[in-house]
Amino acid sequence: MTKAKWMATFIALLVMATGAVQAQTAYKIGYLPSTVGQALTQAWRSGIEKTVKAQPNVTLQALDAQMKAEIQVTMMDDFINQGYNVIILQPIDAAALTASVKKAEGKGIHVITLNTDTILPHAACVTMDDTGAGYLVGETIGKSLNGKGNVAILQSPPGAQAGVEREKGFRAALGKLYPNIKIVGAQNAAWNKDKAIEIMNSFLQVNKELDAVFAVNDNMAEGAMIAAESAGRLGQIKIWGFNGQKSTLALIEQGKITGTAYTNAYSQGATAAKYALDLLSGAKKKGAKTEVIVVPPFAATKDTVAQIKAEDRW
Amino acid sequence: MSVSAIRRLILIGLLIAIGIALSIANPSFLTVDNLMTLLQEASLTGIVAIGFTLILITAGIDMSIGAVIAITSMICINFISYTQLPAYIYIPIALAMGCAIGWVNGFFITHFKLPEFIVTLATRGILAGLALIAAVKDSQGFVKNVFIQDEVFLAFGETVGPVYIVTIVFFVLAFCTQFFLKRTRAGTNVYATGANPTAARLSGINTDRTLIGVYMFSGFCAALTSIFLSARMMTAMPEFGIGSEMDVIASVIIGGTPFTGGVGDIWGTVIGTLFLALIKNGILKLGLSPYIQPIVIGGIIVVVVVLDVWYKDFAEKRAARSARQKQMQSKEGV
Amino acid sequence: MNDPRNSDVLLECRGIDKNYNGPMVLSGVDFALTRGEIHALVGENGAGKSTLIKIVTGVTNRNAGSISFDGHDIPQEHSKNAAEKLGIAVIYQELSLIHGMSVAQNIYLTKEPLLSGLPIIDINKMNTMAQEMIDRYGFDLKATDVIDNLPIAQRQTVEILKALSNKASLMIMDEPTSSLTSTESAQLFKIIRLLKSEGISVLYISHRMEEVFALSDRVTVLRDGRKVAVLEKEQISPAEIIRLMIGRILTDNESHHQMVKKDGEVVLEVDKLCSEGKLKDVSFSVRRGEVLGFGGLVGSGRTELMRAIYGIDPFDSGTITYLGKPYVPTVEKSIAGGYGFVPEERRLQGIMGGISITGNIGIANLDTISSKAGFVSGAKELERAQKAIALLNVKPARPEVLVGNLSGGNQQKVVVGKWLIRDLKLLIVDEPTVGVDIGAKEEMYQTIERLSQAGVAVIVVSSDLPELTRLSDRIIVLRKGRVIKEFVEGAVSEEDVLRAASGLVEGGAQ
Repeated sequence: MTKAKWMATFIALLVMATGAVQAQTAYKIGYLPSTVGQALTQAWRSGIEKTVKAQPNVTLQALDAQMKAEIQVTMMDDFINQGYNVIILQPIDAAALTASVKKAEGKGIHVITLNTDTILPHAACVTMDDTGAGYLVGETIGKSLNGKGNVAILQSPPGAQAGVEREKGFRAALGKLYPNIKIVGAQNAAWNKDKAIEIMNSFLQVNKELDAVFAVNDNMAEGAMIAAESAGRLGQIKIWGFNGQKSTLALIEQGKITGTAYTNAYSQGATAAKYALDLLSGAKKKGAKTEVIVVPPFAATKDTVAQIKAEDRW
Repeated sequence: MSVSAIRRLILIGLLIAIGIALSIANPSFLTVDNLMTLLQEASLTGIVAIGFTLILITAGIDMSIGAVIAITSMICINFISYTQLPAYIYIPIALAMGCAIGWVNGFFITHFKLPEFIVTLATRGILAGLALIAAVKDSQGFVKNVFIQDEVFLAFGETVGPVYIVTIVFFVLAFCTQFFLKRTRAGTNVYATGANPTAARLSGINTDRTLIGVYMFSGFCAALTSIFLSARMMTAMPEFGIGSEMDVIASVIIGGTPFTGGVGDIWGTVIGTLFLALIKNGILKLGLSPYIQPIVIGGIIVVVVVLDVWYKDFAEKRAARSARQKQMQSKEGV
Repeated sequence: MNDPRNSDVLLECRGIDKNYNGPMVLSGVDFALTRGEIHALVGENGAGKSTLIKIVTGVTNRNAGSISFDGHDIPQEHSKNAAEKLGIAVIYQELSLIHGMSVAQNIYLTKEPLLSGLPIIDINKMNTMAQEMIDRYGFDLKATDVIDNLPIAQRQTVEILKALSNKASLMIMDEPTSSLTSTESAQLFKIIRLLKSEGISVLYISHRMEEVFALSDRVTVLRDGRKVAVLEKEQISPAEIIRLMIGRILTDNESHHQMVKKDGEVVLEVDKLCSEGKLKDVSFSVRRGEVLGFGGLVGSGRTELMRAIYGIDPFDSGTITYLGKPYVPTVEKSIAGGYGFVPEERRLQGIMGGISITGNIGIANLDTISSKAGFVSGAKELERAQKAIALLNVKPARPEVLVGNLSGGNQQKVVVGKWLIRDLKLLIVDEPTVGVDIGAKEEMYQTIERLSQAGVAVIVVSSDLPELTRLSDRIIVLRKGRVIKEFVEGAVSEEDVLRAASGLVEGGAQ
């Protein structure tokens, strides 16, 4: 083949490729959680997938932001440049993703956030009631301790809005209803089970009397349980988690973890996906303000956990 | 043609080949938006990589660059949140802070003769901690990432035409630094210090001053990046930049600046940075799992370094052979 | 001041004393050098040549005495930069050249010509200036050549050009020909004469007598830190210089060592060993219980030969027979087969300073102290270490002491000790007593003698002539990678060896 022919073929290929895209009428939805490696984000994903699968002209692509805001911003740019129609985003940080969300909305791409809202308005935010659920946990723990005792908190990384909201709700409940309960420690376990074991161990060493622990997600609650169990103090400490993932619910049934603020993550994902499809079909119109859809929490304890059906466990 | 020129041509060739492959695989690759985003990504790594190239030319290493990004972005965000000072006052302060940290690194390395790796690893740890302490907190003491609304500051994240300002700054800085290295005495001193510090001192070069200057420049580049990064994200986070060292090192190594010192230049680093950004963008475009990204980058580094060593060995043998032949000829002449 | 040459004295040193917190290295040395002369400084290892140079160039400070250069008095607190400014240049082997840079860049480093009024290097002008200078002296060089691609001799030329560009009036060359071929050396001599014709003085240090005779206008001989003599051109003769260097008027009994013919079985036989650029047709053999000495100048190929027969470096051709069987050495095979090797640069190659005596000895003997599964037996390791310590009288006799904290002599004992506790058949020692005090030296000699009496074949490489003649039953002298002379039987003096090594024997002179 001559050089010219080569070039011609190449250009033709390019044109075909670009042409192909223009011919498509299909819609593309991007799913961008903080990380794909967690039960919660996986449950959201299957909730979204189940809803989207019914629509043959909609494709779903998931990316993993690996818990780094900079990476998530890059991936947002990529979704935007590839002309996605809707992005379902769990922002790692409210402020850090605001610019990306604004850029997407500016190009007519709808953004639906999960759990963490961003500062500027966008299509919708489907969220657990973090503050409310945190409050609920605080209230429940306070009651079970009869208003007295020592409590520790396993925190999320600094700046992680969802974790901060949960902790705020929790502290508000204790401060308002049970002022005699002392918070003896609060440390960042980075959403992470191993880290939680390490920090829980130090809590246990420092505090000979520790009555309850609130972990702002279930992974960390499971870590706290492991540490308490190996210290032989599991019976004396009430451990609460947050989210209600399958493994934690099972541990609640076994009596090893006291309770968790359960949210049906499948239905949360499905809600977000349904909202996306409604936007695409025109059944819903984007408003001037972000539409906030709150998925109510449910306090799952040994007594109530049976109410959560097997197919709603994630 | 010299070894490095051939190497560079191969890299540029690969760059183009991968670009063509990607535009065929995914039509959204060859769009202005995507290419400009790619360049923006490359520039954010690249500005730090320019400073890091100078460090490597002196046979040093700077592990603190990521933490410098974190601390300088915290300095800016504190000014924005708590003062009414305009951007043209606090941005120079932040840049000066980057230089100051570089000076501290350089001072400990030259004055106490400490290994570069250890000094900068220590500053990295200290600065990362300070960044968390310096982060803006809400009334209950939780870290709050402030949404920046300062127009002047945000202008750093804007574009001129389709091109991001950071990209323009990157290329201008690259040009200036290359000129500095090749055409000024101070630039020559950087090479001499890295190639053979004893010889450099014997030739009357103040190697300590050169090293301190290089670390200050590296700190400056990191601080500059933090401003573009914060402007792009419209916020600053205390973990900004932490962990970005690996991308920077990868870019510089792919660009052909070795760890051994005395060798390297900025154009190589520019190509290395573009190469890395292209690979990362390509992984997204092909819909591959982001988890394979570090594997791919690691693999590329290994291949590049092995080829470099292999080729250097080959070139040395060739040089030795030609030197011997020259000797033989002169002998025959006598 | 009767000598007319003194009328134009460039450098004058008077009564120089120097000690490095210990014995006097230089005492009361007077030294004078005139403008445009080639002056050789000779003396045995340790005579104080390098120290004198270091003092003149400001690398180290003198304890007493005065120095004047070009009419300036040089203060006691001299510095390298000050010396350079005065016009004193040292031509290093290649130490001060920057790899990766061109010839021009190296010549003009830190004083590059700038574009007028700008801090920007004028590359064209720099290359032109360099090329002009190269052409003026008629060197075979291009200003734009990169240093890395030049042979050593040409790098040296660049060093000289660099000094010339600094307007040096004195160039000091320390063993400049040690890594040059004879053609390259001849080239260098031409350059040196050229420098002389330009009025530049050259202070020349060399062990190679024929160079000294061929080049020098005058020779100053140092011995044991004192100036022994200054010879004028017409007085210079090989025999005289060597006599002055060695100094002692020795009786035949003392100075001549009887070589002894041993008739044990041959342990190692080397036939026509060649290694490009290093060794040429080297053949020799060593027998059980024999001490074979290797003499020669630094760079004569002795160390390279040892490394080749031990299996560290490969060689191009030739055969080795070990214990009657053809042998291609590798380090592992050599150790397992009963070789011992005490390398030249003890700190770099022989010891691990941060590890205890036990550890150092254990590492060379892992095969004898570990089980089949590869686990090291601490008790066995300690037992070996104690055995070696007792055998060699290492002080302190505590196996847990870090080797880095021992004195030079005791470090050397540990290096030897690593091998002694094995079933040794051949021991190679390269410069066994460099940096070792006199007492430890004597112990080392006794150890070597004990070993040879026990039937071990020992190869000793040494630049220390009394040491070599004292220890050896036979001496082979290498020069430029070839066997130049073998002293097999009869009496041998230090002078004989030095003459051979310097190239003053039949067939050896170039």
